[in-house]
Amino acid sequence: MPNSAADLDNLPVTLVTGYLGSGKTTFINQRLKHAEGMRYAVLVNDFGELNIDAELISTETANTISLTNGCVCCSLADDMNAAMEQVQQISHQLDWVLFEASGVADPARIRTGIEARPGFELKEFLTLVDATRIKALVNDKFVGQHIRRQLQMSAPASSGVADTKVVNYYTQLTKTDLISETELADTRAWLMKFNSTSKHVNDRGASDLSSELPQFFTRVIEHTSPIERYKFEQWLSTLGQEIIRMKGFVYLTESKTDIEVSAYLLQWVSGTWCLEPWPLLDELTMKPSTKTQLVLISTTALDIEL
Amino acid sequence: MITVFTAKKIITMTEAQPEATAVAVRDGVILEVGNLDTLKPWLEHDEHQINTDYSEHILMPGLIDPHLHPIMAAVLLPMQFITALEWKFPWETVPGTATPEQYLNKLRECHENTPEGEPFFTWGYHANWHGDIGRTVMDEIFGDRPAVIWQRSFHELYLNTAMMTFLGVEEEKVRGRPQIDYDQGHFYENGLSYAIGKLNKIIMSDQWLGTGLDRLKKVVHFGGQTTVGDMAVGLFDFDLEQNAVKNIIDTPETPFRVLGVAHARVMSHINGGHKQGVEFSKTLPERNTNKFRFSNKIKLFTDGAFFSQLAMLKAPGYIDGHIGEWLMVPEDYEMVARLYWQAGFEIHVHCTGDLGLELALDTLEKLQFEQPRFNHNYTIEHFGFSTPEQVKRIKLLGANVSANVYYLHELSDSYGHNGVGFERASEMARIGQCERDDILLSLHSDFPMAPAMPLNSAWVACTRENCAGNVVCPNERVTLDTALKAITINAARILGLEDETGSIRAGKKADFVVLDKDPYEVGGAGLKDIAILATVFEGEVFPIAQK
Repeated sequence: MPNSAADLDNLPVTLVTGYLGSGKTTFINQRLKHAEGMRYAVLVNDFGELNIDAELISTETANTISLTNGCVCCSLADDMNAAMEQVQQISHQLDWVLFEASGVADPARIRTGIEARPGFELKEFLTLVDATRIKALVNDKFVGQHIRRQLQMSAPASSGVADTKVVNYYTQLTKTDLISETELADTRAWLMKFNSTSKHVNDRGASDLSSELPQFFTRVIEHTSPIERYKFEQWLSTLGQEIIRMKGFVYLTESKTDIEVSAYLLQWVSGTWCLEPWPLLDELTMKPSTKTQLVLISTTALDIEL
Repeated sequence: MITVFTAKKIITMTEAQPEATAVAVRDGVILEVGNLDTLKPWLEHDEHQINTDYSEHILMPGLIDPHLHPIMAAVLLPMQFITALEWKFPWETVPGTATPEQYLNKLRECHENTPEGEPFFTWGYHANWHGDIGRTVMDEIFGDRPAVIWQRSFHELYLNTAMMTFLGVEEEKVRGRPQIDYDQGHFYENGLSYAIGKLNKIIMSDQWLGTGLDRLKKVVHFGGQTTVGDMAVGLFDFDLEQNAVKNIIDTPETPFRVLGVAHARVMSHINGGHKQGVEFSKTLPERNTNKFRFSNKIKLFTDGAFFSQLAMLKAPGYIDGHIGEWLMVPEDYEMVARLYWQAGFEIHVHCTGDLGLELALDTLEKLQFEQPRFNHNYTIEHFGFSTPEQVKRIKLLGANVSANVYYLHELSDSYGHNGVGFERASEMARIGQCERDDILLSLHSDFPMAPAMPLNSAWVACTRENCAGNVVCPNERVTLDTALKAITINAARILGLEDETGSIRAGKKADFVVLDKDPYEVGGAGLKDIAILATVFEGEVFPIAQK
């Protein structure tokens, strides 16, 4: 269904919460490693911990590292506002934001922070739980209150925020190979009392994280000649919900005999799309282009063609 | 050439010779304090002049505010103050504007007096006094002029249509977002940080900050201060702040010195790690000039802002059940504090709630166990909520307290009703216990959070009178002597400048404040009504215009 451009301009955000050592950085590293064409903006507290291959780095400043695969890492450095402003300025070059909350973030506050910010939309809410420490942490004199809120927050009903938009909640136990089977079963049952609606993803060991978490597949679809508008719209209507996001330029004619080609920017988010008229000239070459090129991100590997 | 200042009474703030009537100064340094007779050996030895301008007045050591934020003040001060309560500035006394009608009239008047095309900013709006405001009313008053109304707490603001257009705030992107009311141009909390991002091109411009710092200089002088602490250099942008403050402060006409204490998190960030941050901090004194310097001090933070109820509280917490905020993960706080402790730094830690204080004290206890230090000057900054038992620990661990007593003046009434209840609200700033336990205590304003008027802070400390006119927890008042030390010699000790300033004795810098009344005659309750006639900074007189 077509929609206004503004809704689709929003960058989807995955919010990752969890205390120190719960695996937030590991998770983010995994996502970056398997970006597969997805252009992530990663907002982290400290990128010293990110395991970025030196060969991947194209430019580096005090606050940002740009990677050759199109991803960019920004340091939050106490200033969520400045970091998000920075990301927003290059949002047209990005597909998705990974936001690493501080270990003692009040999740409700961060969530409001993301939602209040024009240009972003919270899509996933992931809470990572260190199986070896969680029971001690919830009773910790200093951080217990925040850890309990993080566990509760992974259930939308207790968030106190009206869920007008779809947000997926996940809770994951990490470092499970460091405790016994009995302890693990016990911890899992104990966790349930904090929330029951969040999707519990399978537990992971200390070394491998995220393979069970939702993965993304990216596909580039190209078409060298202009397409008839009605055929293109028909094609769009056949696409399923497994496509999360699609973006790119298309070159359309009004009918088969029409020789006048118009360029559009297509934006697609979870079944909602819009076509925004765009100058026909290619920005770089300043020559007319007719090559349609769409980048498509989905939750399953798709083999579709135009 | 020696200059002798005579006074009706010189309050030296030394215990050996607390009172005098004349002080001899050469090259900005005190040669001797006493009377014209006792000074003779100096005067017979060198040419001299006697300055009798203040011979009917009272001289005290130049006042010291050990904790304010020049860069935040610079952002705020260029705005037009329209406030419910009166604010005194050297350039104007802002009268109280206490009704909606007066407020709107004041806005209209400001609009007429602002040059064509110039944007208008005001600070101080509060719905309890000024009624509802919003874009519709603002558009009617300001027309095409871009305008901003900033709320008293700093946590919300209103933009008119012309300002939204100027800043590029687009309806389709903003409408329906939490904490933003597009129709009324109202941005608060997270919505506010979005608006500030847009406003930065104005309020962080060289011109704006230049005007603001220039006004800050006047404010500091007006409060009778000759030394202040910039207690978190790097709060907005380390290089920008340092250059701006240095360029504007380090000039001959500035009548005070600034001790900068760098923000540890920023030091780590700009140098790529905590260890590198410590190494970098060690080099900061290399940049020192006479009026702007760094020493071996560092600023850390535990919990969130007192004004936003983000202080971390021990049980039973806030009445409404919300929780505060850690500004550093507690484990990280300990790790960073350890690095600086072991490198010999003096740590100043922002603590607002009793749980924030607990973290600061638990950490200090561990550090003392690992590597004991004396005279370490670990200083609790702000000291909002605390327990009596914690004050004993502060004493036993050898820490200092720099208290913001204005919290109790402005907030004890409202936090009693909406916050933490009366028992804890009335006991905020537990300074009487600090006095009883002989803890090194200073008072600060955290300006622009509270007026940069040390005599006013000392008045609150002595009376514990809040803005509702009630005396809250009189047992936590301090004596006049403790309050005056807390804005002179003890504030100097907190900043590590006690060899240089803070009292009047041979060898110190000739930093004085000239008062029209004797604090020991008017007592604690009279402190806020004492007029400040002039300051003397390193021997040079800087008069203050009287209205």
